[in-house]
Amino acid sequence: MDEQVRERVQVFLSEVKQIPTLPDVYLRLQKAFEDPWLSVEYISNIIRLDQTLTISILRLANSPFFGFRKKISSITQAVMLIGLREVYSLVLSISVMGIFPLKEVDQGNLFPAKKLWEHCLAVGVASRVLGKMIGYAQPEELFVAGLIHDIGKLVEKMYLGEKFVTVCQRSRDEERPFLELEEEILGFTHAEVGEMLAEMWGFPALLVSITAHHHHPEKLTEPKSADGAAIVHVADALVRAMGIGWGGDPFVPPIVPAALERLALITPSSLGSVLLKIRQEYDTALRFLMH
Amino acid sequence: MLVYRMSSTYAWWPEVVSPKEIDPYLDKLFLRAGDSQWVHPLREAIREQMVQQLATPSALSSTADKLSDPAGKGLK
Repeated sequence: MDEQVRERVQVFLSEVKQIPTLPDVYLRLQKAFEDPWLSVEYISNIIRLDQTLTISILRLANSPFFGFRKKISSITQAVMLIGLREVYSLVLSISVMGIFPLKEVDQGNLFPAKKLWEHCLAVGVASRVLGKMIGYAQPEELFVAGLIHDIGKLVEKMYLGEKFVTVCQRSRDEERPFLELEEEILGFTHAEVGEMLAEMWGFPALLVSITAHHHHPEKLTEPKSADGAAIVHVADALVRAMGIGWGGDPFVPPIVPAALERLALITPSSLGSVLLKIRQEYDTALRFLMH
Repeated sequence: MLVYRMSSTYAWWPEVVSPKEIDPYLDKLFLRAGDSQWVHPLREAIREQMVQQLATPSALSSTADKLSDPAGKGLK
């Protein structure tokens, strides 16, 4: 990130009196993952400290989203079947979704938080679908990456006030992309805000990188981050084309050719079936994650 | 799909209710999409799904619609 931009984002975030914090159980898990001798039982015990989280994970583990045939009745069983890293990703997803409110008093606003969450959820689902198709090693990480890719927009929406409204209004009135207006009016974008927030929350480096570069995946060189950012970048375009949720403007953004090269296993002619798969998985995820 | 019932609150196009409205809608949707190798097939895939959904109105009330709009009054 450019130093001047970083400064501007820092000023914005420093003006926010209370940056939302992640729940204690997430922070404990984060710490636990630093231990190379991490065990299923240890992780399960941490999760069990939070009853709401325990219920959410069991509900998800038993949902068609994961598709396990056997009923999963304990957290230990869920952790064993889903996997340690994947459970960590789920806890992160549930935690982030929990700190930003879905409901708003003003229903007539230009950027409803619920619609933004629907967009983010769909990008998470689409990233997971694309990741599985190209054989990405940990598709659950992509789900989280997609889910949080626009976290900067949520923070802007919550704390920027009139300036954020101006970005939305001008984007609508001038029919210009939200991203372009962010740069012009704010001097930074949600990708940069998201990057700094993800750093502040101590998210894994991969997630920080993908959040920062989801509009410019071609700038990344490390293969796993570059693949991840390319996938989220393409997923974002597909979800906007499908009209799910609201990402700030109603345009399908340009897809960077370098991102398509990384997704070469998915042919343009198979897009119809890819979209259907995303739609089906999105409907399931919506049922189990947002309601 | 939610797109067909998008409110004018956060989109400024009319709801797509007939096949003749699909192309103008897609023109706007893909206005900023550039010309990468996926743009045309993606537009065609979306077009195909929209045509199919308009042909089978029951498909319009997907789970997402029901959940977002349980009363079935549209999002306006």
